Amino acid sequence: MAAIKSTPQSRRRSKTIALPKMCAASVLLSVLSHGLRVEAQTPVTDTTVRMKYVHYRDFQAGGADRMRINSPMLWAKGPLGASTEFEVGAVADVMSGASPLYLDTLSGASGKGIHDNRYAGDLKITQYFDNVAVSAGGFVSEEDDYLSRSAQGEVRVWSDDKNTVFNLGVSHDWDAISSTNNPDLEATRKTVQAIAGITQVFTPNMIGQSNLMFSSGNGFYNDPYKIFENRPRSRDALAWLNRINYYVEELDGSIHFDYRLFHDNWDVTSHTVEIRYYQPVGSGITLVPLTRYYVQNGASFFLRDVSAIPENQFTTADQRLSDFGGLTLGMKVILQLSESFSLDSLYQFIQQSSALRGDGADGIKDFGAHYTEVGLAYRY
Amino acid sequence: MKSFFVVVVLMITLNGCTKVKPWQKGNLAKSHMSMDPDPLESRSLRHTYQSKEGSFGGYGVGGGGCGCN
Repeated sequence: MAAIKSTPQSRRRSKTIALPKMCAASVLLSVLSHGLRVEAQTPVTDTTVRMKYVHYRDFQAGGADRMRINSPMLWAKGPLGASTEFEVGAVADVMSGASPLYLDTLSGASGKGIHDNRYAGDLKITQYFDNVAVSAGGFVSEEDDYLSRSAQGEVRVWSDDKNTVFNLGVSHDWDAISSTNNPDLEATRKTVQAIAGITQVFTPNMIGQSNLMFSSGNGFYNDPYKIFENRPRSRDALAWLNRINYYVEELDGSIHFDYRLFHDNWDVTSHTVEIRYYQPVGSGITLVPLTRYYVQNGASFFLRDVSAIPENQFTTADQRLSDFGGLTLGMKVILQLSESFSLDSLYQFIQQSSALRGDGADGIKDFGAHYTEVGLAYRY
Repeated sequence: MKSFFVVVVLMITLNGCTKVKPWQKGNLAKSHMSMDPDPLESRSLRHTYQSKEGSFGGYGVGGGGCGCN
């Protein structure tokens, strides 16, 4: 009897031991129920649906409006049985406006504008095993003058302690390009991509990721609506992305830092730095200030002087392949109305300019864009 | 390419040093600590930037092709 009879002292001791165990158990349950999404070592147990409406408008120096795009979007992810999950997305872009002046055949030079709709959808199925997850997916995007299809496969493998995840992915894209200006144009392009990455839990407050992507494409790369277009028929590119997420314990906030290095055989080299800070401020509100800096060296065949067009050489006057820098400033607000329902809104201003590249090299005319987004998320 | 493998080796080495236990991952499980807290937003932003810049990729493979101007 004495063996099972606890004294007040032993009861106190058992309480002090039980409390940290309960805390640990509740944290563990929280981890298991929400999942470490980046690692995703188990299929999701709830279905999450996200809807957004994006309004995008850009303009060039002098205040002339260029493209306007309105995009309703849908995304969902959920379980399909005990060890399988699905992810599905759909978007419709309603586009109108004009490409940059002087360098294309649809805008100011021809007096015509652009009116087009784009419809895109994708589906991914992931099957989970003990320490491995295998995904297969597809993507289709269709416009009046462009059809893009893609098939993708991915394998993720994680360590027994679930602190390290390796991922390998491959994809094959088939693009068909035509032109409303040139009914005879029926061009194609094929692209193969491969990615290898590692995601690592460093500390209880820090997680990082490093991905290396290789892309190799062959086919038609010209923009059929721009003049001076004679681009190479192959493009090989390397993108190296590094990400760190750090939890700031004192503020219950988190910093997301991304850096990407890009280089291709057209001699485009770019650096991208993106920083976001997530700060819950009470009443279910989270504020997310964000900034992004981008800088690129243009393609070796970009025409920096359109008055002297070289013959029998690769050329482009596409401003996206020029020397320039870009700066984005934005703010997102997330309003968590209940455990399963939230609203969010993002506004950001994007500026592109030769001056932002640092050396002030000649490139595109200054370009600005407003990106406004409202959305909701529902989990059940 | 060499730098990528240096980072991978560094990450694996650091994993050997740290060994974060499951019950220490409460902060990492917070929704805003996810690598991609809002997948629909990030795919929309990547599509926007890819349409206006000369670079792409690094976040995944495949998809996103368009005749964007």
